[in-house]
Amino acid sequence: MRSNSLGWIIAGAIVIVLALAGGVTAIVLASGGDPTSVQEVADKAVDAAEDLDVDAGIDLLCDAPSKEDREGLESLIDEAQDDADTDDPDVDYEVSHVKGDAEGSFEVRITSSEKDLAGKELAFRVVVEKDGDRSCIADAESLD
Amino acid sequence: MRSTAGWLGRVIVLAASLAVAGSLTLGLGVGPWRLVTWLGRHGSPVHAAIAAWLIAAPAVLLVAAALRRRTSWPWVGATTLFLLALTVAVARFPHLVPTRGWVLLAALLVAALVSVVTAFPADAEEDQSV
Repeated sequence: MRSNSLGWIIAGAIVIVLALAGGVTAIVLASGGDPTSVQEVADKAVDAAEDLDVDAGIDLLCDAPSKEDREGLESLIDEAQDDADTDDPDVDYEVSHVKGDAEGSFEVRITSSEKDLAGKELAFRVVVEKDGDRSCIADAESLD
Repeated sequence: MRSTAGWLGRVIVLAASLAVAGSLTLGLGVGPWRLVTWLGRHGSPVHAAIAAWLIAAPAVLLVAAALRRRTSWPWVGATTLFLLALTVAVARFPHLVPTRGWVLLAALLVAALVSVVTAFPADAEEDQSV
């Protein structure tokens, strides 16, 4: 391959841009502070759910959720929004049965004060595992 | 050899962009437009923009590849933006990237850089053409 000054200069510039973008993103991410206990995971999960904060919710996962999990969550949200006739139904989350320290589980019971969702209740047992230094959500199973 | 390496690099970048767009449109269980608007509505405009770009990237890269004989800059720009979107996404959510994902990303970076370097004429060829 013959010398190609312009191509190599541009390739070098691309590497620098990518390193800066990836580095800055990673530094911002690291400054957020990961949860290190089941209780912290439960608190952050409720905060993320109440704010419908996608970023914060994904941060709590150990691995990428399966397609079935994503479809299940999507249909659950759709159903609640349709029943309540609003995109942002008023939902309450009650955490209980927090077990373990860095690893363990907690239960969360979801109810709503929306008139059309009255009487409906969802309950999940959330499994928390350790991934390096952080505690994260490994699985969630319905208790109903 | 330059043309073969460049062609291979472009094919790998296009294939990777199709794989990423395919996983976003078919693999998530959510329609692409719905995914982008949902992310935008729930406080993630940057992620919505990244998702929208990654879904559109194969078409843009294909057009840029077709224009390459006229000018290399659309290919360089589209490839840079594609790599940038992927880099920010994996740096933001590193825990969602499996080990083989990092290996594939490194291979993609090498292929993309080869396609960029070979997109421009070699110095000697340039000198002869002047």
